Amino acid sequence: DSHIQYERVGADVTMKCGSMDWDAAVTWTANGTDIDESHLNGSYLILKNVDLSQSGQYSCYEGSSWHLKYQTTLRVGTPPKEPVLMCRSNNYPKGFYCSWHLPTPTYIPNSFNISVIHGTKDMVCEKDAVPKNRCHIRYIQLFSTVKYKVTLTVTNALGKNFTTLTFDEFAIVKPDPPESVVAKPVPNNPRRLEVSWQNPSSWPDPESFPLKFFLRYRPLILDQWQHV
Amino acid sequence: GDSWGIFTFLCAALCNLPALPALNCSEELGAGQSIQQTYDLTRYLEHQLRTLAGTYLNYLGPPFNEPDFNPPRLARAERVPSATVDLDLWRGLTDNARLAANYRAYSRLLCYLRVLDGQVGTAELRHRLAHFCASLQGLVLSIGGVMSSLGYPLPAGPAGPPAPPGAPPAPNDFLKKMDDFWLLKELQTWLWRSAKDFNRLKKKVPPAVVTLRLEVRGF
Repeated sequence: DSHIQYERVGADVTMKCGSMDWDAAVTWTANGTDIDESHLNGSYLILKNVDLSQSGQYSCYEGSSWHLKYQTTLRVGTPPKEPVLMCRSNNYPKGFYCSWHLPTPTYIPNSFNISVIHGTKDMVCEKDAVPKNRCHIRYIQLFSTVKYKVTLTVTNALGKNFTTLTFDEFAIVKPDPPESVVAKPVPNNPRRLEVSWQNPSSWPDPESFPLKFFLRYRPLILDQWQHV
Repeated sequence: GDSWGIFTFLCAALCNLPALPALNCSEELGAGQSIQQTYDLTRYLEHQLRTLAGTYLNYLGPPFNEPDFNPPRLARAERVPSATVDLDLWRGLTDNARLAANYRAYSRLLCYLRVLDGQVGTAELRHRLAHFCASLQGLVLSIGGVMSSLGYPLPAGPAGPPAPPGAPPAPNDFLKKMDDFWLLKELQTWLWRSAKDFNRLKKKVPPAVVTLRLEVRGF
């Protein structure tokens, strides 16, 4: 008889040895190491104010026969805090992506559910294989006056939490940085530099949606930046 | 950009050939230049609207001036022309259709804004609105100018009163404020869209116009 048990950090945990009576003689082990009798109340194992280091496999053996009567994996963790969510369109006008993470780890498995509502319509945010915790949406309509509302819910065995973002289509447009930025010296002109770059490859339509670039530079010996 | 320079050179070169009747260069120059001017105007108006909308929404008061305010679109709000469009449809618009959509939208929006102008409370708001309406009028004229110089007919103007016949005025104060909210929203979205519309036109118009003119003159 074996299963996984999730408990909160700081909780008091009582483990029963399966169907054994309270007054049965048993031995408990944690990850193979015998547990001192002082932690026992009859055949129950009492762990007070558990911490992360107490996660592991707990086994209960009948006193004389050393039969394995019960086994459980204890996972100590926390319920999720409010997740951090951000949405961005780096490929306007194709669509946008949302990515999220937890501000502090929970130490136990979490599942994420994301919902996107546009006016009255539910939209599907397709999860990316890589990176994890990211999904993308394709725009069907452009120049929308109705806001997008994205809700991310994170759930684990100890609780759940969520956060919501509401935004206009144009408010989340942010292209990726320029690519192949190269600064070359100009022959016979030590005071000049030739800088070249390319549009980010994620930007699908620079013809209709041109990008504007700003360049600043400084010689290493100076602290002040100059702008082109 | 470069295409603009080539265009100017070609025009000057052609105009100087003695055997040819003088090409009316100023008209083509007009199209390319007024598209740029129209683009600049939309950016200027976008900037102006930010201040105007902030002031106006504060005047309307909560919840209209709350950043997260996200009301459902009521049927009555459909009177205001919407910039929202299917992505592929927008890409495939002809120059004429693109310009006409902008012309029609801003003409209607201007009418609605003028009605607003007559109703608002504070002097500051009236002043800002009047200034914005004047600029918006300039935009409508600018778009009209581009259409004319490209030989496109101007869309029929909006019928006199701003509300289409049969549409009732807002039955209460809150709904009236909602109408105002959506009007500003649509204006904002149209100006965001127009910059992209005129970007597309900028790239396409000057070379096409040169080719057309050369064909007409029998080259």
